[in-house]
Amino acid sequence: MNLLKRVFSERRAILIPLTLFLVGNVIYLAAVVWPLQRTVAGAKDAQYKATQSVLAARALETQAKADRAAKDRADVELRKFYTEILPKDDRSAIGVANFTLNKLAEQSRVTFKSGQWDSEEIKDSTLSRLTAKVTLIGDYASVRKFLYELETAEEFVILESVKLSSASTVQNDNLLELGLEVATYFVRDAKTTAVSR
Amino acid sequence: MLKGNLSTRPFYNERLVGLVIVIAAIAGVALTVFNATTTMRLSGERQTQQAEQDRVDAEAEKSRTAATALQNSLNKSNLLMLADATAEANVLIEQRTFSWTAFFGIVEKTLPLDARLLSVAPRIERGVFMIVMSLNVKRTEDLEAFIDALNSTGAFYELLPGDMQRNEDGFLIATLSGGYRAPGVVPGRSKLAVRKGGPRP
Repeated sequence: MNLLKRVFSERRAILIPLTLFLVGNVIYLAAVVWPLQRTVAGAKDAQYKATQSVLAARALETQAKADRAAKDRADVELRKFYTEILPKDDRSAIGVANFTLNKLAEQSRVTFKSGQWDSEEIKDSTLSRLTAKVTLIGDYASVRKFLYELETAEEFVILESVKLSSASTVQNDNLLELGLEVATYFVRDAKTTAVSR
Repeated sequence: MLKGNLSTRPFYNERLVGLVIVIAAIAGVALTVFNATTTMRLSGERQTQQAEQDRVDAEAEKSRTAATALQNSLNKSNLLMLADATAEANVLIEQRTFSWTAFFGIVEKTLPLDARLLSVAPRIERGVFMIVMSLNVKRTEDLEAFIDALNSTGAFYELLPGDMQRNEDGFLIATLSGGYRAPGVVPGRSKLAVRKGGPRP
């Protein structure tokens, strides 16, 4: 009997429980503690990924809110443009093109010689376009005043082109003939001012 | 008197064996304590993590659902229609911001004595004003001088002469076109923030 066997034999009452105790602990360590450690470490990675995911989701939500807000703002501003800035309908547009130009010509001391109106629907748009070809006569200072009054008028009128020539048929050589192409726009059907909803 | 064969029961250090057993027992107890505390700590951490994970997942799902609901509420065809309408309105507003007073102010200062402006037509191209002018000039030098003078104001750029035609009275009718930066107007700034009444030069 070698020495170890003898020691084991003599201390069996202590060594067997002690060995079982140690082996049990090692098994518990290997089977429970280490896997749990790995799970916790893995969960940290998963948590990091989940945090990234929530950040991405929040960014998506913020973007969607911003898109919605931008859309709502554009909708409101466009409706305001259609209802408050542009003439309300074709009658208002004709009034703008006719009476406003006459009134401004009078105020600026230029003579309204002739005017020709035409309206057309704009393709793929809710707007219609009313154009006017107007001929006015006046001296240069009055013409400049008329242009200033027109461009600063409350009414939405776009002066598209200006033609200047000497009004030779008139007695005074200083007079100019002013050929204007003006345009204004109106919504064809007021119901369509609500562009989107 | 002890009788025995001492060669079969040789002497060994019982204290050393006892010490080894005690050390093993202490190591065992320490391992048990380590296992127990680690298990408790990790279990607690795992529970906290699980709760946090559930909370984060729920939050992400909530945000995603809200984003999807918002995106779904934005009808794509309506959005395209709105974008087109807004672009159209912005072009009209930019056209309306063209200041004829400012334009004629520049032309007055730069037009040569023997030249006359016949017509002007501004238009918006890709958010910038392009001007086409028709002039009556005595000599081509007058046209060159006018182009140089306009360029030197900084309001005009890339001005190019176009068609030229000699009139019965010997004057030239020339076309001039180029870019125009309206003084005080920042391109693309109007963007539906238009007020009634157009520009105030």
